[in-house]
Amino acid sequence: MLTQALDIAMTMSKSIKGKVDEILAMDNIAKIKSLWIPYKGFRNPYLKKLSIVAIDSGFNYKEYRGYALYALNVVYVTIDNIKGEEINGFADIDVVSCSNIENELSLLSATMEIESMVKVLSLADTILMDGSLIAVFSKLRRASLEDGHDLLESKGIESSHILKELIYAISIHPRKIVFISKNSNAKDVLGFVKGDIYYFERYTDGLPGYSKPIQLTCSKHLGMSTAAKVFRHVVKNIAGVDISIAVSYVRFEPFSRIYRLELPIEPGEDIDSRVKYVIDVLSDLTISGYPYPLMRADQIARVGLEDINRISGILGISYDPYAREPL
Amino acid sequence: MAAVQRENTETLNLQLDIVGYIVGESKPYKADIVAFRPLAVGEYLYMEYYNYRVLAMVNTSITGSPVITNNLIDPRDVERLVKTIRYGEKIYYYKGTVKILGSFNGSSSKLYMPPIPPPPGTEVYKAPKTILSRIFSPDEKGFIRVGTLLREMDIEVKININKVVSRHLGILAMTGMGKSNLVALIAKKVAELGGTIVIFDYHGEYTSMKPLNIITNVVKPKINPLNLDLEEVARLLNIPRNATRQRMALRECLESIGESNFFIMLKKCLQSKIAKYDISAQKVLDAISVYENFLKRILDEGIEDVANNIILGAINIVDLSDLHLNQADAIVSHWLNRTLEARKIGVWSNGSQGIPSPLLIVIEEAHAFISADNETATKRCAGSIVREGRKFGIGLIVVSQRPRGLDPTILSQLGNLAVLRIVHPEDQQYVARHCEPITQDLVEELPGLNIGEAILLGEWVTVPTIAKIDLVKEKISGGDIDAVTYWDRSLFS
Repeated sequence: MLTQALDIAMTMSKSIKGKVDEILAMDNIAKIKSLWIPYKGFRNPYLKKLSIVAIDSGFNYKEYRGYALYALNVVYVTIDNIKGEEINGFADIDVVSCSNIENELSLLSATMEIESMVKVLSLADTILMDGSLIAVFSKLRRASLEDGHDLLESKGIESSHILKELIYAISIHPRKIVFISKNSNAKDVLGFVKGDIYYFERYTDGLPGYSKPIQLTCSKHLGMSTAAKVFRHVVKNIAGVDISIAVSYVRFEPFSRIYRLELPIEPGEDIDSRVKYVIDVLSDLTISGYPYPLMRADQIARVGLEDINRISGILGISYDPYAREPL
Repeated sequence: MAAVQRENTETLNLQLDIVGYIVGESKPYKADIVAFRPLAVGEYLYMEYYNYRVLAMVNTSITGSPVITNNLIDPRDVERLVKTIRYGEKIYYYKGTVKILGSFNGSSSKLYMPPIPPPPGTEVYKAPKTILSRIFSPDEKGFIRVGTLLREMDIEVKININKVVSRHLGILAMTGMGKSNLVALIAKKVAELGGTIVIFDYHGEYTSMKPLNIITNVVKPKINPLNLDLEEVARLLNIPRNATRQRMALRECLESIGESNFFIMLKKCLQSKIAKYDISAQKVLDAISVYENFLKRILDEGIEDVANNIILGAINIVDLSDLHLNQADAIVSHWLNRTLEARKIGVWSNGSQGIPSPLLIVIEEAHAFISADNETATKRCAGSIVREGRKFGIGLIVVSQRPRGLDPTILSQLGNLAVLRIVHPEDQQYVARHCEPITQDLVEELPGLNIGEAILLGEWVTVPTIAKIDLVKEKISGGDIDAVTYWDRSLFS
């Protein structure tokens, strides 16, 4: 790094810090607070215990000269009243030679997550997906329109087919599927300078609850509202049902972090009670303010550098010339 | 957990229960293990690699969970994990470090450190009983049972008593942890073998001990003043080392003294020396007047030489319980001196004179007699015994509840150790610093021991051993007093 970078950091520290600690107008603070609905989840112990599945994936890769070794796995963790915790999933390890491996692997992991979701759809009462529904939808739709996804092609995966699988799954069981993002830069609800999550985290006094849900088609972000409209349209075309996406920010426990919730909803559905239902269902399973099944799925799915090195050791390519060898 | 049937070179069918696998980087003497079940500290394990058959011991044991981690700050989170999610019932991980004790071959109980560390992935089994018996219970002459393995109660632990005689022994522990029981056990076993042991019993704990078919000889702590040398008399009279003229007067009188009336003769002689030594002789006379009554409690002209009081093949108990520390110090040092001399004569005369056979000497409350801070008479004599005892067959057993008070020179020359529970960190560090056989990792295990559990180290055991020491039922005193029962009895009587 250039030494000048540090000089710049010092001279600009005030202005950059000012951007981080944004000073908000009183009206805006009042607006944020008015959108926050305090709610503490409660699960009636006399109700039937639900079977909850969380799906997450992880990948890592090591670039050699002219090719890359990757390891990808998808994990679905089932929390069941009778069996307790059950971990399943599948893994893919291969070498590939393509230009944008990060993007390709991200696409592959999204397809594998959807395949897992389809597999467990009839077995679970609630399926928690890590990430954003609209982001997955957009990614797959773009992939189905583009050419040159070598990795997917080499696996014989058609993104259009996976997209259809996703839409069918959502159409058949819209109330089962919940997407939860750990982080988001989306500005759908407030439309301020930074992502909504920043403001809800700072100006809601640590109260557990959720932001007033909105339909994503009404997003303040034009691109997002367009994508949501496209989603609605595509679902209607493929499955013949009217499903849109609702978004809300939730805090499961006092003073814990805020997460973004995306739910497929049917017309006329009470979104408020749907969000409350999700919070209630997860209230028993929240650890440090985050749903435990997702935490566990993330923990298991993660492929670390040590793991990829171990795999390359097993394959006997640990000492193959690697991409950044001259450095 | 799988059980593997293995036939080794000795055609022993070993039923091996797999415990886990070696992982990570290992050393010839140490390795990490990942296990299927919780590991018990002190548990013995068995491995085979590169044709070495290796015995190892669990040094540290760790149980953890990837989910119930220490960064959770809300107990309700843990409650949810354990009760609602029921995670707690399912997954823990077990790992630890093992200390490699050595590899063995043939039918010998000796262990040799393998030059090669175990490769990762080596299967680790629970040590089979046949192997443990071979290592810890050798069926050889000179090995006596002191207890059982702490983690394998059906395996006897035998120690080589010959090594105690030749390399000495330190028994170190907090009070009430079983030191005197171990002394009583060794005494009993030595006497059963026909050996001789002398115990300096500062608290009168052993005088009531009456093991079946074993002679116990309780000796009055008296010495014949006529057998005392100048140094001993000067010490008893508190004459400093630099008081040369006083010592000269005393020496001349001791040389000319007759066979009886020690104090009268000594005083008479000193009076006659006043002309020559002036005030120095007067000072010695004054000292005798001051200490005469006090010294009469331990000095008796009618007493034989202490070496003649020792009964061979018996437990000889020198009861020091009525004496002050200084008096006891004089007695112990005199006994040590005379015993060493008598034993030397015994060796040189091929047993026709002196003490003809090897013997063990036990010094209880050794931190008082062999103190790190004070110059005592016993310290000098004990030093001679630890240096020369090996050649003449006198083994010293040093017993202390305050190891940091022991003289480091003597402590470092004890080739064998029995360390029971020690909690005080200063004591632990002192032992680790000055005792050769003990290592830091073993020191860390000391607070975890219970009453009667000991780590045995040194040449008297084949490998470091954590043992449950046998209880000597014949030793009835020395335990904690039940004060409430006494009070209760006196209240209603």
